[in-house]
Amino acid sequence: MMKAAFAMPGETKRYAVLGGLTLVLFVMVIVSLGIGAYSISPGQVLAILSEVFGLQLPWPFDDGHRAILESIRGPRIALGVLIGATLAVSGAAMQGLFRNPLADPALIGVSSGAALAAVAAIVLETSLLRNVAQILGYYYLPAAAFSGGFAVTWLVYRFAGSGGRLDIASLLLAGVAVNALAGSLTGLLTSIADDQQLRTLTFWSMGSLGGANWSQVVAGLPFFLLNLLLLPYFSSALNALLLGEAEAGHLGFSVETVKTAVIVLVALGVGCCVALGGIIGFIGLVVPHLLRLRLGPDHRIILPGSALLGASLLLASDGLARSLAVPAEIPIGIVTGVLGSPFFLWLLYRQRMLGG
Amino acid sequence: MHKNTLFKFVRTVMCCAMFVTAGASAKEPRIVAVGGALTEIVYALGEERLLAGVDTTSQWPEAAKALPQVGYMRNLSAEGILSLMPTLLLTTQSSGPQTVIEQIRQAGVEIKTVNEDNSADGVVSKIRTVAEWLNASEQGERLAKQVQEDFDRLERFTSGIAQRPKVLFVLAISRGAPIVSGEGTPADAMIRIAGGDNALKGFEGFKPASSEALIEAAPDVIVLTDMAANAIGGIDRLFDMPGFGATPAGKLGKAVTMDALYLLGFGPRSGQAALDLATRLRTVDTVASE
Amino acid sequence: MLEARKIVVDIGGKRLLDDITLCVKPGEVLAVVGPNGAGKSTLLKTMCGDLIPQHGFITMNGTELDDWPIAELARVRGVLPQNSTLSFPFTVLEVVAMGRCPHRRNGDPAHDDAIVRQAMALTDTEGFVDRIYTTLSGGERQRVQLARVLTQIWEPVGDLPRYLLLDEPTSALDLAHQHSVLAIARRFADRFQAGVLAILHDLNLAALYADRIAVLHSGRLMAFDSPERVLDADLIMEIFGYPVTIAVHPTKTDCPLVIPHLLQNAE
Repeated sequence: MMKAAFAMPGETKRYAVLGGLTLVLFVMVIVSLGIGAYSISPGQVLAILSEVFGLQLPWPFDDGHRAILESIRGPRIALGVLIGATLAVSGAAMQGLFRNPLADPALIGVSSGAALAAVAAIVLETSLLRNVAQILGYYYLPAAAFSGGFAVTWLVYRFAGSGGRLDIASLLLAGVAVNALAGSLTGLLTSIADDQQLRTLTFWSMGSLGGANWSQVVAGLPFFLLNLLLLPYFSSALNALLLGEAEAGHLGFSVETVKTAVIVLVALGVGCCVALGGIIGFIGLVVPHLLRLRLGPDHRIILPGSALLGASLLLASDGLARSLAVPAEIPIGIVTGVLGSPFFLWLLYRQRMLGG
Repeated sequence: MHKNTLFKFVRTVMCCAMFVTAGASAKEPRIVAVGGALTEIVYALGEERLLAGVDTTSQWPEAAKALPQVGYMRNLSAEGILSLMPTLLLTTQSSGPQTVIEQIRQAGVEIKTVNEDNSADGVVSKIRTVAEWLNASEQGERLAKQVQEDFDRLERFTSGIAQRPKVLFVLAISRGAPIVSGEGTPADAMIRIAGGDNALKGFEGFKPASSEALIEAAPDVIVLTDMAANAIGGIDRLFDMPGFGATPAGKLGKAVTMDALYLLGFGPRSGQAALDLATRLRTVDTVASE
Repeated sequence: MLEARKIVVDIGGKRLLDDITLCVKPGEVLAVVGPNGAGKSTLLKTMCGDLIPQHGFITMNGTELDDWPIAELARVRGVLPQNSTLSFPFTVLEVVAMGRCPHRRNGDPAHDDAIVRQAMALTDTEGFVDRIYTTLSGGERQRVQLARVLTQIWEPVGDLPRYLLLDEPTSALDLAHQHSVLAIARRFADRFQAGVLAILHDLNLAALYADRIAVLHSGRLMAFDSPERVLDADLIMEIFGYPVTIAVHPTKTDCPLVIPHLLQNAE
């Protein structure tokens, strides 16, 4: 008994959990490929997928089916997986960095910065930024949102750091102040927007994976991958940071490097999420929290676990977004909010009941 | 369980779709129309059997509301539209997002986009263009002529009157702040066609206006959408609102309500709508006001 | 040897450490004592590199602290904080196992596991291995943290001497655990030739377990010598402002025993 309890914190548990979550994600991807306004049976999904590998399965399909899978659901699901995973991992990393289970990537200003830049881009598209808009084409709005998110994060970071040291409490305060400023400027731009612009930016701010295409996925991929592959590398450092910054230093971690790297990676990843999918809330907060309740706070499990669960949950939300109002769609940010907030309240309530 | 219902629904839609396709000749397009005016034109041409779906701005004729709704014209979903198996997507320049339009194009659906030209000529040429796309040039010609006649009648009516009233157009009223029309909007164009002048100049599009800006604009008549009138509990209340009462229109109690799509749609009914507006601008009864 | 040479630390215009020179030798336990605000914690923070002195420098095994790669340092030196801010629900086992972080790159999980187990047995914490750290009492937490720090420097790395810095390790402990913690520190020094620096409040604990005692007062080093030389009634009166009598420990006769007087005017 005692020996079993002493087994190193969950190598086995870790693999079991991550394996299970990978399976869930795999199933979600297949299910998502099969649902939507356009009817494609699971057999046809498999037949179309295996055709890529030169296999022929006995489910007939036509070019319409293939086109839907290849050019609409395929990139949409890929983007959903990447965004869901990135938002959840970033949320988990921020919660570790701020030593607060309610922290969220929005704290460092990346979302409000992206929103500000996107709204500015929409409102000024026909006047001040006409040339920029023409040059960038499709990428005009994503590029604006991404740069805005990164710029505002950089501002927050500069305010919080001095003498080579980044003070997490100042980071939080600077984040609150800069978020408020960005919010006001967004409000200002919104108030001068005309009716059409208002509608565009309303829909943008509610988030959507509609209109995803492979070139967007490819453009965002480097940022998503940097975030998803490098953040788990800081798992142990984030664990140690929870003991305190000095303690993490004494355990051999370069605390300042870790803090800066985590913030940069989160800004890159979440900036990219907002740029390509708009504002999608609650994934970054709920997913790590849920996992922590079940599996404890070890970032070595929480970070990769959040990536897998976040991707699955976003696919599920997108599935609902696509199929509840066929042939129209509900913005995915609305779905995650409507499902996420009551669920989060339920989690809190249950935690209180169990905790006494 | 939920998914089952969903699949059933999708299957039903598909069955209907197949039925319709089977009943039509092979060459006939299957259309999703995005934009109220385009839907109206299709109906006015008598080609509504071709419609597989419409967007949420297609509110007229009543029958259009029963068609599958593909969402708001600026927030279309590729798969939703493709699930209706269209061969032709009718859009306006403001339909989007562009990425979605592009996906639909890549899926092999023909995309036709009409120019948004808010003028009599624009409407007439829009009708001709759509009719041509639908292989209904004959009906198109008849409809175009009819609409042209409406506008001609309007012109005869307005040309006899030298005085042009200053008109303030109110699109909506939210939390007491009116959303009014500046220049470059369909409302602005309609006011001009109907022989009036837009009371608000110097900005583009629809924007919220302050009470003082309303007084400054000094409109002779205020035109509200039905929606805006409903939002304040009836047109009778309009001049109780800050600003409106102090305008010349307010002092004489001159206000007109009209259906937004009818007035601003620039579809086949626009000639009538303009004539309607022109008449009402000049014959408006004083609205009871306390 | 862990050595502070002529260090001066000013914070917010106030001189917290003034020209302090002292050292911890491998195999010795050094107790730092002094009244509240004397600069004991500042000294420990400076000795472990958390604070940079304005003047003077700290060396470890002859190399300045700044020149040590931080990961190397972590393998041979453990620092026990006065209290930890940990508020996430880690299990006790997970907290102790974090001590193996610096060795993980070339570590063997089973071996790490064994070390964690031994450290927990030594600190009498194996009874709550699966408890959530945040539900422990203050004293229990202190012992868990000690176990964590011990696992960190449990084994030698090459032939480098190891160092253990303890910031008030006994402050929240009951009598038996105070002694068991200092006995662990003593044994660590004796058996592994490790250098131990511990901030203590109890002069008798210092006398029992330390080889040398450093007495700080207002940022200055007032005495730095063996317990029998340092623990002098006049010096204690001067520094702590309290009268004591120095006696001989009844069972360990080479050890002085500090007996505080009862003040007559203290009602």
